Amino acid sequence: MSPDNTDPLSSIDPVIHAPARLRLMTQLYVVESADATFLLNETGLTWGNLATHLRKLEEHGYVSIDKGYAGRRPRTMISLTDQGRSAFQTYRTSMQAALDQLHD
Amino acid sequence: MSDRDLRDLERRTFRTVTDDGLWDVLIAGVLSMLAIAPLLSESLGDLWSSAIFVPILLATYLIIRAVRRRVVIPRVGTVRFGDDRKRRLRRFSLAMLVVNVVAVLLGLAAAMAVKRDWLDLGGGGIGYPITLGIVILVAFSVGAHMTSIPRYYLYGLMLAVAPLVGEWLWRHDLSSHHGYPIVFGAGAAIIFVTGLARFGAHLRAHPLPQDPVRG
Repeated sequence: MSPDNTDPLSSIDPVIHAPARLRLMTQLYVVESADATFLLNETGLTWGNLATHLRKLEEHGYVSIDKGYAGRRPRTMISLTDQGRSAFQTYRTSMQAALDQLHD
Repeated sequence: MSDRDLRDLERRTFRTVTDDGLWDVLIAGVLSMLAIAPLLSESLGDLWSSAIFVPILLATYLIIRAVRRRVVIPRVGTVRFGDDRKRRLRRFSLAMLVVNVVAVLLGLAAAMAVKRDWLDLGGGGIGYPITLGIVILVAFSVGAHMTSIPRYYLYGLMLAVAPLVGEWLWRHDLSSHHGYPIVFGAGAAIIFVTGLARFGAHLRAHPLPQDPVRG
């Protein structure tokens, strides 16, 4: 069954729409990059959930995960890719259109 | 989720990462210098009574950096901010540089004027404390605006009136050295306690992650 193009909700990206991933995408959208500890604090997710959602976003090319070191300590920095930023902007526009249509 | 919501989120994120109260401790250190240096100037002279604080302030700064690295970052995490915020911080640094250069030039001009009897700080003029108050207010207001930490506006207001209050205390024989030891000492104490309280609250709000996986 093909998606109904007249239905504004059909253009909503389901990868971003999940609440935990939406929180991650929003948080990453407003910064250049952040480490897992920060994202854990800000989203309230557990380590396991965070890793699962980040993996899903990475599979879709929305985030890049850069494993490096800060001094001798390992540090993983996560950032939105260009594709991820573009997808988030599209998601915002689609959601706004869907909400506007509901309002009408 | 409007552009404004996103800007607010970025501002909140910046505050979460930077507003740990440790800058307040450093500010309190600088104010302590203003409070204590006049008392030392009689025994050490004007130059050394201030210069003696340079290594102390440097040590304080290094301790703050170490505490931030070992205590704050493992709890709060690390964030790299976008170009807008970086530009804003560069502007802040430039503004602070300008304010400090202006303050130093005003101080030198006042010192020269006093030496050549062009300016009588002990007499009728209150131009010096007013000018100092304005410089302090501008510096803290710029800091508050650029760092999105409104508490610094209050510090600016409190410290802007300090030189005038000090002058009043001095003229009424209630304090020595234009009242600096009292007004800046009190300001340093208030800001130090506020900073420590903020630091404690920040650590309580961000406990160490329990999971062995490291970020």
